[in-house]
Amino acid sequence: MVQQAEQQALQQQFRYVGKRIPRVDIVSKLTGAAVFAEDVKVPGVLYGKLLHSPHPHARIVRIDTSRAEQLPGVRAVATAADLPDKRVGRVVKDEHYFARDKVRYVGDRVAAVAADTREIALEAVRRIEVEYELLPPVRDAFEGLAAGAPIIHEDLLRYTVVGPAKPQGGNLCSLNSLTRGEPEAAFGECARVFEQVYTTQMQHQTYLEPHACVAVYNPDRTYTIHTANQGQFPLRNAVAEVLGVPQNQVRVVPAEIGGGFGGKSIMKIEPAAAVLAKKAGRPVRIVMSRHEDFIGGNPRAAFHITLKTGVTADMRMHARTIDVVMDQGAHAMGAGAMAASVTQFAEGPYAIPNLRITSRLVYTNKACTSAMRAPGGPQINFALESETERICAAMGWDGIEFRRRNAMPTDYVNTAGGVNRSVFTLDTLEACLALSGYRHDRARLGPNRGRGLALGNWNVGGNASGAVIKMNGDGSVNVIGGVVDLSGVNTTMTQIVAEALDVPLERVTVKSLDTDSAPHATNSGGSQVLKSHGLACFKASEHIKAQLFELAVDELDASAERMELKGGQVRVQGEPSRAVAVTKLLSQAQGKTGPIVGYGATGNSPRMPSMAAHVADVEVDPETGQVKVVRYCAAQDVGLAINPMSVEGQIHGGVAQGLGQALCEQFTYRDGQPQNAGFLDYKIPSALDVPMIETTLVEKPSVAGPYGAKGVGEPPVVPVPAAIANAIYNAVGVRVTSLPITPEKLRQAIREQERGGGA
Amino acid sequence: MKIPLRVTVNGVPREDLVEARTSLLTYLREQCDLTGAKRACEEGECGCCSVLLDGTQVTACLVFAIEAQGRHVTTVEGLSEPQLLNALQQAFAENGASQCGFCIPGMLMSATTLLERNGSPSEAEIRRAISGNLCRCTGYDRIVAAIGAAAAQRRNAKG
Repeated sequence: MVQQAEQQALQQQFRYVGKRIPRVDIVSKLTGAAVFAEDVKVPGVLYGKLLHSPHPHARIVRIDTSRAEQLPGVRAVATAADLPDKRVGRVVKDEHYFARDKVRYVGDRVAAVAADTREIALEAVRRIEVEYELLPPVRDAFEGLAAGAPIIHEDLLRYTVVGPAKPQGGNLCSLNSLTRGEPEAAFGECARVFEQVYTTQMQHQTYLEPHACVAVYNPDRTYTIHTANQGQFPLRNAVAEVLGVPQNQVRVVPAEIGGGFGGKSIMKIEPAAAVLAKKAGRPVRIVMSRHEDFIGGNPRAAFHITLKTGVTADMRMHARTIDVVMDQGAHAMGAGAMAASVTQFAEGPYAIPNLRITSRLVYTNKACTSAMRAPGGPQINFALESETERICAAMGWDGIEFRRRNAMPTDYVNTAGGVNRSVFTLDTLEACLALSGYRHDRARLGPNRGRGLALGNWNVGGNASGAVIKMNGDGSVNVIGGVVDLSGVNTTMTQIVAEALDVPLERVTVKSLDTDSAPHATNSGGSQVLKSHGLACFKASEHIKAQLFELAVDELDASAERMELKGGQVRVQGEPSRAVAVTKLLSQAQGKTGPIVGYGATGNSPRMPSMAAHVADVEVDPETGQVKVVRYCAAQDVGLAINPMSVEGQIHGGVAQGLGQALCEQFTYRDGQPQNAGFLDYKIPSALDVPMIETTLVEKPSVAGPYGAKGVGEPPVVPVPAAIANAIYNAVGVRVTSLPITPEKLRQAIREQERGGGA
Repeated sequence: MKIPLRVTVNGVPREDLVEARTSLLTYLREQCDLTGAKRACEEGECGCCSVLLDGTQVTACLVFAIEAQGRHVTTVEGLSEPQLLNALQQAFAENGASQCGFCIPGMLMSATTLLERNGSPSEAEIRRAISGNLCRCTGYDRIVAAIGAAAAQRRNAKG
């Protein structure tokens, strides 16, 4: 109740922040007017198509494009020969955009064509002749680590490393480790030590909109690219690197984006469209088919996690080691960064004095894994929070009390040596218990029905971002940002700027503009936009205010420090009668200082945990192994919700993706060949598979974000698989340690238990 | 060879020439300039291309354009006057039912079909009606709520 009163007091301070307003782009989204990348109209556009490798691992002996070039209606064909001979990559520079010497996965880019029609483009791709010398594929991470394994990148140790990856040679792309205390020695001081292996699957982001772009080569020798990507600036930089041109010569225009979840944070088709547009002298559109989007995507990596946990008699985790082996796929992409970040957040929502986390990122001949919503988060959390309940069951402990005793406190020095500020682990846990009614001794709800709890964290960082605000003569404002509106960004920024300048919402317009027009900004990912770009918008507002206050000094005969901006007036604080209209100051500015433009920027900021606590109720059919989720409760530490409706929407969506990871989704390979590259065989949850989701927002202002706000998009996906696994355990007494928990797998586990194996 | 097609799209009669193999989705997007129906899987699995054919939801990627011969097609652009929202769309807006918005044109078509047939759908009936429309952003929660709210509002307006 105290918390509710605090939250109300917090909300009442604000006019626009903390309010449930519909998205500013809602009408265009509901009427079909929103222009997604495939909807961008460009006169004379050609159809582009990529040729992908059909082999997981092969040497390219010869590529002959002549039969494709001879086909009437074909306007350009591109291969590695059309690009500078250099490797690119965001972490390890391990990839030629078009395969040069070898192909390393089914879906690797070999060539591309542009033609008058879709049909001609498809036929042209078929006519490209590629002679391959087949090599044995590396089918999974352990095969890749084994002695004598085929080597995917022979020159790995000569590659340029630009990110936190630490290549070791062989197929080991990165080995990262962090240690606190002396875990090995500390195990000896424990009452009991538990060991368990957990495994997770490859999961595809499955945004509904496939990758799509249009590229134009302009008469001034610059490129314009309209695309569905999560960040116009990171993408521009990547494309410029591939093309070998300066960044100013590539203009990326963000289209509306039909979902990303990390899957659109990597360049895909854009360089191919650009090189084809230049060769053909006409604009080129490429839209990936759903099949291409699966094989050429960058899914969530499969993890193999070995946990060793030592507990003391007073219910404390005293020592833990976490060894993670990640199946990375053919190129490092974003996964290289993940190897490092995993070591930072794998400590989870707990404070463990002796801890070692080791991650090994292994090249395999599969799609290049990269970011998917909270990359690495739900995989690790599945292990941590399954283990919490396994330990408590074995020791006869109350899982709630165990979590309370081990919870990470605020201002905690993390394994990497940084300080975790504004951590509200217990508040989040208690909020979820209150919402759900979860009790350890009542987690079994009835025959084959169980309730499961999991506590999770996602550590939200922030990357450099700038924002510009132009104040118009009538006091209305235009906000210019370079951040893609992935999840309501422009709405949230509208609320922040309206609050900061005390301007009505309808007098604030926020636009995400192209890379020529907007200040440099980060990509929409890592739940960081609010903290980075939101703060930039807040600071830009402050900059506007400073200029207005300076203009008002003579008029109000007061120093700028004593002024405030309220209701379209600059006033002396505490003396409302001493005021001047903003419009009057703006008019005066024309004769004095010139236009009023505000600029705000933030640099990179450290990661801070946001907590989520979830409770799931499930019903298991012991005959079929089918799991039905009948109720779902989620509490989340959000700092302050700038738009609670938007935040709840993020939680609903995160939970649904987590349910897919927990129960049904798995992108599979056999001998390097993808087995289910399409919606027919890769099942994501439908409306029949997700219950209504109950939410509680825990609002305790963060020290870092604007108005105390925190990033909210990723935490809600993290605890879901563990909550489901724990609920299944409480329903049928079976602990499944590998994801997804399919009916087949669960039925098998139930059978084994009946035969006397058991948990 | 191109075939003459007479079809009424969003209330406007049209005459076009189409290839026999042209899907209704391609026809709408490329010949009618109506890009509200989305191309997302082209195998009828996701529902993003849903339109109404004589008032009933179909996945336009699996229907040939010539199958619409002499019939009425409604796309999301035909649900309301330009820049305005009908009651169902308004309920989607107020309930926060759209995030990225890519699946929403299809969702609206399935919901429209449901509400034409069933004025008081239960939560289970709403979920079944949109079970062929995948959404990856919303977890369906607010979409289900919005359709329920639109049904209730329609009942109140009549009642």
